[in-house]
Amino acid sequence: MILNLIAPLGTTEGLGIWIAAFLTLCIFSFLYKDNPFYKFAEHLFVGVSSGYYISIYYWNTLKPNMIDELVKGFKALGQGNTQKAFGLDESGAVMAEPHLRMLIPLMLGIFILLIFISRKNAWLSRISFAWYIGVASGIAIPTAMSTRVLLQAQGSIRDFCSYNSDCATSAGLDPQVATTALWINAFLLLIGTLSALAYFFFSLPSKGALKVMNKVGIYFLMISFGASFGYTVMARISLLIGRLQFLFYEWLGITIS
Amino acid sequence: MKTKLPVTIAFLTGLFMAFAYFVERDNVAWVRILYEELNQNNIVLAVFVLFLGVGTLLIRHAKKIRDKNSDSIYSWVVIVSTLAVAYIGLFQTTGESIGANENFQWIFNNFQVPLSATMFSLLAFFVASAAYRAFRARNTEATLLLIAAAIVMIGRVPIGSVISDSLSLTGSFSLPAIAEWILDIPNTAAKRAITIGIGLGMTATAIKIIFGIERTYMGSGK
Amino acid sequence: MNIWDKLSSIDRRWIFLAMAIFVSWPVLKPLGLPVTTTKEVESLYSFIEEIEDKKPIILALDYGPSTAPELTPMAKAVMRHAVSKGIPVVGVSLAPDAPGVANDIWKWAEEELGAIPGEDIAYLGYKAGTTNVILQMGQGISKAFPKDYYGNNTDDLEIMEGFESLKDASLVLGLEATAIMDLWIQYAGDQMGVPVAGGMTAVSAPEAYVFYQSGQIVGLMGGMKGGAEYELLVGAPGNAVQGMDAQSLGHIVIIVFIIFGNLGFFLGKKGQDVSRLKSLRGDQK
Repeated sequence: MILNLIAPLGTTEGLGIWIAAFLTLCIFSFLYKDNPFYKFAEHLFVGVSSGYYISIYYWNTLKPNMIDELVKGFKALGQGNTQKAFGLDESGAVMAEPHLRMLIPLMLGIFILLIFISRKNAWLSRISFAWYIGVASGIAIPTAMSTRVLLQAQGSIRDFCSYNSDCATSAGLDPQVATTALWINAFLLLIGTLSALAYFFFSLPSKGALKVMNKVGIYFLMISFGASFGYTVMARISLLIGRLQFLFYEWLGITIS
Repeated sequence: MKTKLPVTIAFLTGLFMAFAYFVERDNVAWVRILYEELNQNNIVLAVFVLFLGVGTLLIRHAKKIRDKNSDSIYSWVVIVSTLAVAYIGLFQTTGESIGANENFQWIFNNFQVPLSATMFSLLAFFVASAAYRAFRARNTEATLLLIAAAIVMIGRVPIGSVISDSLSLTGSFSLPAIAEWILDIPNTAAKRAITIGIGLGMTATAIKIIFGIERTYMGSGK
Repeated sequence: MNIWDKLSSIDRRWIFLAMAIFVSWPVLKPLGLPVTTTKEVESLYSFIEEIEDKKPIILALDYGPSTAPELTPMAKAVMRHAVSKGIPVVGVSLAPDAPGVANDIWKWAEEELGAIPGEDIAYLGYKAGTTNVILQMGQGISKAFPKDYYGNNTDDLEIMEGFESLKDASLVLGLEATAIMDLWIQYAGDQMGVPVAGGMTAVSAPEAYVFYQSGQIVGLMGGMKGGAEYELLVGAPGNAVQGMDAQSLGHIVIIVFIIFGNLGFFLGKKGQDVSRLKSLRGDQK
């Protein structure tokens, strides 16, 4: 471990590192107790993020996907080419470039912001939300079922097929030679899925076989939550390591020999 | 009007997007163009939703300042920093690209990164404290949760192999192998049941929205 | 208050201090614990290794600084692998705080890997609208991303030759801090038939195992450990491998405190009171 010079303050980069280190320590100070430094950093975080989002949304989405199209449309309109302005070619067919058709999302967007301006007309924002959510719902219907239900159900019996060469070949899976342990695992996977599903089945009273299934289901769920907790711990510590690496290596200039 | 119009719009847009999935869009020009246009509209609308959020935030803090709230100094911090960063991002960007705005990137690296990353890294401490306080092997379920968590915590990091070696646990009985098994079998089985439940829930909600049964997106006002 | 009671009532600031010391120590003085690889990461490595037709990889950087220590090592290791094999990498982001992180990774790839922007690598920036962006990319990459993050027309980039739609990608690798992974699987994978893989924060990795087992994703990296494994597979240990020692000790600290808590609970006065209460209830039955 070698201690080099602490990041120099004189350069833009060095100043940046000092600011970052100060803000890092401001937030860590919360571990002792809530204090004005933490509160300052917390509010600065909200403000900087908001300013950052506004800029990124404008330059990365609003401008290239809407404003540039509108500018092209108005240019065409200025040249007297009304068809092109609205994204129609010479034969009147609709072109992929929407140009002034982007006035529709602009109008819907303004409806959303009416909430700030006019209480009387704020209901118009419902049109925009209905438009947005309607599209999102329509997109979800065909594929949510296949991705999350059908293919998952298929996954729960996939291994049984892989262990049978005929089935594997016809299903396009890699045939596998199964040991007893693998067969047990395949059964456990299926039983675990069914019993955990049974735990969420509320249409019948939990009696007899269903009660047993529920009990098994909750055991599987608990093991799974344990695994999730273990991984959550891993995630949080990784983030701490990231900050410590910054403080030690970049700010204090420590190099590991 | 205030209810029927939005419900009709959700019905038409939703039905069209679901319909477009089943059509060879490359061969049917009007479906392809309308489909692309609706996608593009949503991409742009998402920006206005963000503006709505930021606007609400700023108004809330402006009210705090107006009311001379005891913490109004921090509201100044929010408003000034939002406007300052937005100014640098929007007005100091030359040409067509924010990617070339070095000041903006400098602000990101030295403000946004430490604030955001440290805020979340605090959770490392709180997760430790919470685990110490709440994790008790009170019954079978809690014990299973505790054991699974401990094995995954140790088995997924290098020290798991070291401990296994020192205890002569090898092959399928080593801690990394048991952790792997927990993730592959019981974890996958239970998470699969949850995933299937989510899938069914998503589909049902989407259908309810399209047919106007689910209307919470319209808010509570009349 | 006996020793067991004391064990169950340690002030949380002592726990914080123990955590700070045991995580800092290996960051300053690495222990050199051995990192092993898992099949989920190996299968992603093999998949990229076997890409032959040089079709681009879509690297979806859908995360911000809050999860960068977990996901940036993955991004760098995969880019190192792809660039060394001459596979073009096109980056996109569906999370708004991602561009700042991605910009640094792209600059690193230029300097460290010698990747040529526009030819070997391109970063198209952030786009709002998540699902709609993925679907629009399926209709045409430039329809969703008319310009890249640096202001160039996307269609003019050399890397985009023959790469018109998302369906032309050899792989979508989602580096995800949120549920956007599910959307890539649902729309890019299942709907468009593009192979999808995940690099997930450890918080969301356990949920992704269901998609790995069902064959809906070709590989999975979970948390900093996943990044460390990929760094080892490409033979360039970096920040993630370096962090693994601290990760190990951090986990041990938590487990030790959980043991303290349980010892205090069962052997201390409070725990005995609870068990006495339970036995009384049992008597009444």
